[in-house]
Amino acid sequence: MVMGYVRDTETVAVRQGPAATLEVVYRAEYTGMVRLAFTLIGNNAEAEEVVQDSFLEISQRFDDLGQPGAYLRTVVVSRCRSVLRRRRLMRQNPPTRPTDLPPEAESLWDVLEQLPEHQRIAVVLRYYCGYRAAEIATITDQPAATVRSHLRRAMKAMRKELTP
Amino acid sequence: MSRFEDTLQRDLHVIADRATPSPHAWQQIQRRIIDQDPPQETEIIMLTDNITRPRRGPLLAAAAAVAALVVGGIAFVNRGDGANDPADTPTPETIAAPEPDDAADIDTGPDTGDDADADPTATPEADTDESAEAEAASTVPRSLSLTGTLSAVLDFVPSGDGGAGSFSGDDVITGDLFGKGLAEGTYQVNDANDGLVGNNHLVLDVWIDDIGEGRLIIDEQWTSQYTGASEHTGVVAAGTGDFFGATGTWRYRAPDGNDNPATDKVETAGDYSLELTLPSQADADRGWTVDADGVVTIGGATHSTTAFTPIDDGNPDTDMSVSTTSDIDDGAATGSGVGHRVTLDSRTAFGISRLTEERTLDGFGTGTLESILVWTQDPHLSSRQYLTGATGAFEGYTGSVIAYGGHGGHPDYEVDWTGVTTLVPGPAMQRVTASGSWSDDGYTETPRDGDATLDVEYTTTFVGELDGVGLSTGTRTPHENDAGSDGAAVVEFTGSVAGVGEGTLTFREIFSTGEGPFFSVATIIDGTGDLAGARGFVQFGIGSYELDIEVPTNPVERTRVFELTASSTESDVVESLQDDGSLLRTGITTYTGQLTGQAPWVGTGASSNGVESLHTDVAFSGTIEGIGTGTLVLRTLSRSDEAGYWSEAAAVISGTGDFAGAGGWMMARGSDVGAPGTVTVELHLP
Repeated sequence: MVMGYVRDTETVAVRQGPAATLEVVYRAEYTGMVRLAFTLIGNNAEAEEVVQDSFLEISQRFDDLGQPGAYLRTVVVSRCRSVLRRRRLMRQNPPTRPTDLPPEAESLWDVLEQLPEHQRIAVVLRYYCGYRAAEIATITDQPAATVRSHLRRAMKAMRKELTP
Repeated sequence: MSRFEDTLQRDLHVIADRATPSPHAWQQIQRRIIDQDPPQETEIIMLTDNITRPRRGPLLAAAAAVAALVVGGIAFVNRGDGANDPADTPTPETIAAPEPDDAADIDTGPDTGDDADADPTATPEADTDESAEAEAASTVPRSLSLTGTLSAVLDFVPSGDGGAGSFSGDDVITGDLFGKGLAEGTYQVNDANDGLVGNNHLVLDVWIDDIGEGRLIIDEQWTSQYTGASEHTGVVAAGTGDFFGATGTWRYRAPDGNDNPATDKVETAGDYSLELTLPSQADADRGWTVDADGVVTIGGATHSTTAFTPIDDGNPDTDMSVSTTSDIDDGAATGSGVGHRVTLDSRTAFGISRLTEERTLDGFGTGTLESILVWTQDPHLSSRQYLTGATGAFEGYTGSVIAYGGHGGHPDYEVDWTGVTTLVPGPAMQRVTASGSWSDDGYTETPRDGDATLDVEYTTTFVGELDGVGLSTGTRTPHENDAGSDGAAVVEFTGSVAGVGEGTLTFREIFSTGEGPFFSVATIIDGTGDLAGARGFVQFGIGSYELDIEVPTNPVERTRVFELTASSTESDVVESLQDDGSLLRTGITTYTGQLTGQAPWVGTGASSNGVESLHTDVAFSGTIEGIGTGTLVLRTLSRSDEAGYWSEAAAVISGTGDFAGAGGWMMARGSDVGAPGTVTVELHLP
């Protein structure tokens, strides 16, 4: 789980020098972050670009980051939100559904695509990453009440679409 | 965790497992770290809670990136930091990452069901780790000062009428507001003949950092010099999505506007500032608000579909039954009624409908609301006025709906709307009916020189629930074609209305005498004392009257009064007999003169002894000299007889555009149905 990576990263990062910790963070986080980004934006190349850009960003201020793993996931989610927002505003480059998905996952993907980006992010962080609302609020820089509202609305919409 | 949530978690992992991270990513990252410039932000502030997060930099960068995709030819501010722009990337101080001690409390695996957050539908109180500070902040209205740049490419179309015309076009907006929009308005030469004045209806689909995405509707007035510089001021008329319940003031200044010979369009760019107020986050989450005066505003995710189905009455293009369904976050609404539309050309139309709506609002209740809906097509805008007479949870409420929509891929006549509903608690307007008897005395007539018209004066004594004396001054004109006559008078009534109180009422009365049944109806146009702001009708029978008025609890003060004349012609009139024996008539009235425009109408009534009396809802859309353009909603009482004489008295219910907040009255009469009649209007505007 992503949270597991984060905790390991923070533990190791505290014990090692700055020069080594970016690679430690990379080894601990990269795969999980790409999967998170992929689940949000549905395109492997874009997901990798988002995560690599995020690593570049944290590299610029790595020495000042007390918990780089926490910052990294915030940056990744924020960049994914930008990708989703631009797609929505420009109404172009719709993500293609990942291939070879079983029918149930295809249906879920189609419903996720219809959700506003805040709701989509909240659902993925909650049910893929396992974060609680307060943690999602920290990651997405929103009040926890807002996150819960996003989750309620998203679940209402998803149940409507996915429940026979 | 529920079964549904288990399935959701499983399928999300299935999707995530389709990602294929590159095995060479670390090398790529290292190369990019080596290649990149030194950090551009040299001041790093760590993990402090009281540092304001910079906002404009990331937005400008995002704006530049997207604007380049939209309009390559339009220049935008661009920081030039290319692919590494941290669009929407939070700066470090906003992270507030958990302290090491807290980390031990963080879940490390899938939810096991014992988390208070496991059920997202749980009440907020269930979350015991909630920040009290954040909760308190969520109940405070949010105020934002927003600035940036708006660019527009506009198509100006002269009307050929003295330098006036209309315009429309696309906007691209960057800065604190980020997105695009549509502009539409009219213009005319200013009084000094050195520039233009106009109005503009801005529909902006935008993102605001930290708030979200939605639509802002801004109505603005503008002036410009022939050099092209323009000044705009406006107000936020409505907000949807994350901007539900928005209000605010808008200013925009463009230093110039240039004709592009290649496109024959005007291209302009300037700076805007918007003082925006949004409901508290808690109200926004709920989807409706109640202010200190009890006014309920419903918006945000409000979404409705209106289906217009042609009625098979021989006029399928214009008459239609109307049904509407709305899906809001915390309730639903369904409505039905009848309507009528006018097609102006092959693309545009407007119409009017009368709806009865059943609405449910969670936490509020269920009830019915009666409304008049006026809509325009291309763009799709609608204004709905709730009338008195609501029942159930909404008893005593009036209000309005402003909505914006589009076809949304639906078949013809089916339109999706997104809008904001405002429900004003009662008794904002108190509806009063009264009846009794009347008698005239002191009737005098004075012939005019060279004119068949007679000046008349008379005194009317009212007995019953309307108790007092009316002093009338008017005219009576004998018919040329029969022994009858018709006339009009202003009646100044002093007395009382049962259930309301004492004061004065001013009527505009029209009457017919002689052949055919007696007919007289008066529009109440104003009042004083306890009757201040009253509007409605008095319908006279022989020796009897019936009063039907609405009296506002808080009368709206209207300061501008316009007296107007015009002529009107009816067309496309279709009549059908309903199952209950009443008449349903629809048609179009075209106005020329100081009012220029068209008005579809829907009326129901009865025919007796060759005289038809109709209660009609009318939607005028057009231009009024000296005021501007917009829509007026009127409720009328009219009669016509077999000889062709007709009279109409109308109360102005509401207005949109330049007629927003309108009140007043309209009187019209003629001697031949189908031929032009004369129209007198007194319009009261804020």
